[in-house]
Amino acid sequence: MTASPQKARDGYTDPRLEAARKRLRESVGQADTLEAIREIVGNLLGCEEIGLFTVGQANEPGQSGLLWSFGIDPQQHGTLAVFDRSALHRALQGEIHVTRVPGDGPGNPGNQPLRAFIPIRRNGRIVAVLVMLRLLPQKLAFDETDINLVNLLSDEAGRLLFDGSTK
Amino acid sequence: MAAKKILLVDDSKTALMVGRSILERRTTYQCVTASDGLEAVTKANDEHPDLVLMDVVMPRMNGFEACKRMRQQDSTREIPIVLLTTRGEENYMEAGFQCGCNDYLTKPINGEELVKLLQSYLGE
Repeated sequence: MTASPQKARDGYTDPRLEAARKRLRESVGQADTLEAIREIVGNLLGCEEIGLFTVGQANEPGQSGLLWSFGIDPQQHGTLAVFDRSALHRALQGEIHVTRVPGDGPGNPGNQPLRAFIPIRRNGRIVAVLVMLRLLPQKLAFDETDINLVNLLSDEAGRLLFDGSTK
Repeated sequence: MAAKKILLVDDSKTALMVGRSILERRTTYQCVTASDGLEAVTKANDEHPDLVLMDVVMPRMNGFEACKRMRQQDSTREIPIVLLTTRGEENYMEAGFQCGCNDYLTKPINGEELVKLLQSYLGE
């Protein structure tokens, strides 16, 4: 499934979205922005296995590098090339892509954990991909606020992470 | 009648902001916050909250230990404690109950579920 941008309804802002926006915008420096991303992804989206991969000019998965991770083995996730190519292709084209973890979880495919690929933009160009490798078992679907949260990360995290100064 | 007071405890600034925002929008409860278990034990003693809503994994003192300490102090023994965690496994929850918590919620927080649970302890 591919997530498309959705607007908040009639001026109503979900508390999760409002808190995420505030936390992200108030972050100071790359380390604090990464911590903000970890908090948003962990507490609000429900994922404790995260990797942030920088992307070269050629947008080739093999040329990407793991910039930061949480809850995964960095040795086994050095580049984006370890992930499903079609999902990555979509992310590198700018789509937020949510899928099920292949071959994981018992029984009904709807019970398999979610995985999300989030393109991170800076000045309109995709400079990184945030991979949420496996969402928590109780988090089996993305709602409208989840989609707005990943759109927020996609649109704003790149500038905060890579501009050198956040203020 | 004075507003009921909730002590929110989490090391994540984001989680504290969300918890506070949900409670301020949907309830009349007053919020005080702490960022780890040690601070929570002190604040519970000083502020006499009507309920403690506390994360489990935190630096300095985790939620399980803070829960145990609150149960050992006369001033905080009877305060309802709801633990918040990413882990929903039965044995993990059981460990929380062994430490004296009253209830459990799994993250990510669902605002409606949270408010209903708090109202079941504190009323509207």
